[in-house]
Amino acid sequence: MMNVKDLSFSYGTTKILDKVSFDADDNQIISILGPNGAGKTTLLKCICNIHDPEEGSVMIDGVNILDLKGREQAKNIAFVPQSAPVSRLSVFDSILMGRKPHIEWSATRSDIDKVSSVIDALGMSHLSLRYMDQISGGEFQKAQIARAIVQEPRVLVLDEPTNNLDISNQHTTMHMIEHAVRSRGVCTIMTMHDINLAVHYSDRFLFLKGGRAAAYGGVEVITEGLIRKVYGMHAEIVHHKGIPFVVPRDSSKYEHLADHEHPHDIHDHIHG
Amino acid sequence: MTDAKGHNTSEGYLRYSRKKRLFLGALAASLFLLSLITIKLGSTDLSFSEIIRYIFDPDDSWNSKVVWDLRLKMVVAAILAGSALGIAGCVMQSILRNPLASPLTLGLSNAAAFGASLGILFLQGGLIVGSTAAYVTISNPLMVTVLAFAFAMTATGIMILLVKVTECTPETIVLAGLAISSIFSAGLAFLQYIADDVALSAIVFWQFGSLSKVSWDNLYIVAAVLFAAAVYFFYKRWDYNAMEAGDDIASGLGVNMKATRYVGLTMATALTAVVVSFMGIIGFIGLIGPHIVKKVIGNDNRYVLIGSMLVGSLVLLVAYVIGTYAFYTVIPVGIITSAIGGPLFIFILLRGRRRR
Repeated sequence: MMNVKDLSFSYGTTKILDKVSFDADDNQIISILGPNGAGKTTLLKCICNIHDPEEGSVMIDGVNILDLKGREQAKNIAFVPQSAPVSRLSVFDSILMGRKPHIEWSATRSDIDKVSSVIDALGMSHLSLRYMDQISGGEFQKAQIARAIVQEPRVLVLDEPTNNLDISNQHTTMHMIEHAVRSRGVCTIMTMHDINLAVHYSDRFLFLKGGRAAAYGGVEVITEGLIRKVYGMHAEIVHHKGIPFVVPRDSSKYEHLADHEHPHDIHDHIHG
Repeated sequence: MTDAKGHNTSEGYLRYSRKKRLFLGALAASLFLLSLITIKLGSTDLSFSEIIRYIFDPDDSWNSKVVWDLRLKMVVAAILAGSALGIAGCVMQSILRNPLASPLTLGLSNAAAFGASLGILFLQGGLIVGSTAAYVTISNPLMVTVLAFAFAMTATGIMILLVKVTECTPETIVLAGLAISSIFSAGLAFLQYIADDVALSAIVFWQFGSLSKVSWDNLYIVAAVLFAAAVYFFYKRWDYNAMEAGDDIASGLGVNMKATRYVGLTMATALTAVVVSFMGIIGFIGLIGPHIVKKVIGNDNRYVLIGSMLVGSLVLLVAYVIGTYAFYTVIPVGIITSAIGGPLFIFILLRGRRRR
C-alpha cells in the first residue's frame, strides 16, 4: 500500500508541484497523465527522492520512504528514467546493477541467478553478453526495466516507458511491465503521454495540470470534460470492446470518416 | 537458470566474468615479468636469482645497492605512478561520464606542477642539487605535496563548477581543461622566468616527468595515498558503474551523488598531486590506461579500476625502458608517454565524433 500525500516542489520561485496526493494498492498500475510541463516527471522524481520535495510524504506500508537513507529507499522503490546514457556495460552487468542496493561487497550466485531468471523470462538471454550500445532502442528499454525488476522494489516508478518505441515495442514493453507487476505484486507508477495506451494497461489514472491533481480514479474519470480541462482540446471518448479511446474531435484529417464509419474503424485508422 | 533454448544464462555470465579476471591476471603476470626484466637491464650484469636474492636479502654490496636504490626503485616508482595516474583517470572518466577526462586533459597536472614548483623554488620545499646537470630533490615532501594538491584542487573546483552550471559536452570540458592548463602553464613560465639558470634547468627537467630522482621516502607517501584511494575507489566500484548509466539511475539505486562525485574527484586529485610532486608531469597515463582496458573488457569498473592500474603501470614501465635504453641518452618518461599518448588522444577524439 502506497500513499503519496501533499507533495510540493518548486524550482526557485516557480511552483512545479502543488500538494499532489494519491494512493495506490500493491498489484496496481497507476498512470500519470497530463500535458507537457504539467509536472509529471517532477512528481516521479519527488516520489523517488531524486528531487527533494518541499513538503509532503511518500508512505509505503506506513513508512515515509523520504526519511530513509539512499540504499534503503532503493530497496523500496526503483526508478526507470525516460532516457539514459548508453554505457559500455554488458546487458547482464547493466541489469545486475539493479541488485546494488542488496549487495554488500560483491554479487553472489543468488544475485546472478535472479538476473538470469529475469533475462530468460524476457527472452533476452541471447543478448545478455552484448554491450548496451550494441542493442536496439526497444531492447535497451527492456534492459532498463529488467534492472528495476531485479531491484525487487515494492514500488516501480517509470518515466515514459514507451517513449521513442514503435507501436509493437510499446505493447511488448507494456506487457512486460504488466507481467512484472501482476506476478510480483508490486505497485507501478508511470508517466504516459499516450492516454489510449495507458487505458489499455493501467488500473488508475492521475491527471495533472499545472502541477495540481485534476482527477484521480479508475477509467471512469476519463471524460470529454476532463480532456478539455486538462489538455484544452475537444475530444470524443469512443468505446471499442468496452475499452474507451480518446479521439481528437477537431482532427480535420479524419473528418471524412466521421459520418459513415464505426468508431472501431477510426481506431484502426489511428493505431493501425 | 536456463532459457527456452536451453542456454544457461548464469553459467554463460560466469564464464564471461572469468575471462575478464583472466585478462587482469595476464596483465599482472606481464607486469611482474616486465618488472623483473627491467631490473635485470643495465650495465651491471645480474642474474635473475641474484636479483631475487638481493631484493629479499639486501646487503651492503654494490650489486645490492644497484638492485635496491637504482633499478627496483625505478620499477616501484613506475608501478606506483602508473597505478595512481591510471586509476585517477579511470575514476574521473566515470564520475564526469567523459571518456576524455584524465589528470592531464583536465588541467590538474599543470595546476599541481605549478603548486609544487612554487613550493620547491620559493618556499624551500626542494633542493637544487648540482651546478650543471642540476636536479631537484624534494626536501619538504609534505609542504610540496600539499601545495600541489591545493592548486590541483583549485583546477578540480573550476571543473566541477563548469560541469554544474553548464551543459558541457566531453569536448567542452577538455577545452576548459586546456584553458585551466594554460593559466597554470603561464604561472609556471613566470616562476621559471624569475628563477636563476641552475634552478631553471632543474625545475624544467623535473617538470618533464622523470622517475630518476624520486626517493624511497617519496615513494612511501605515494604508496600510502594510492592504497587509501584505491581501497576507496574499489569500494565504490558499483557506484561508478551506476553513475555511468546516468544521474537518475544512480540516485534511484541509492548512490549519494554529491558525496561520491566530490570525494572521488578529491581522491583522484590527491593522487595526481603526489605523483606530480615527486615525479613531475607524466602525461596521458590516466587516459591510455583506462582506454586500453575498456577496449578489451568494456566499462565495468569492477574490473576496469584494477585493469587501469595494471595497464598504467605497464605503459609507464615500457616508457621508462624505452626512455632509458632505446636512445643514446636517457629520455624522461614524461616525454615518451606524451609521444605515445598524444596520437591516442587524437584517435579517441575522432572515434567519439564518429559514434555520435
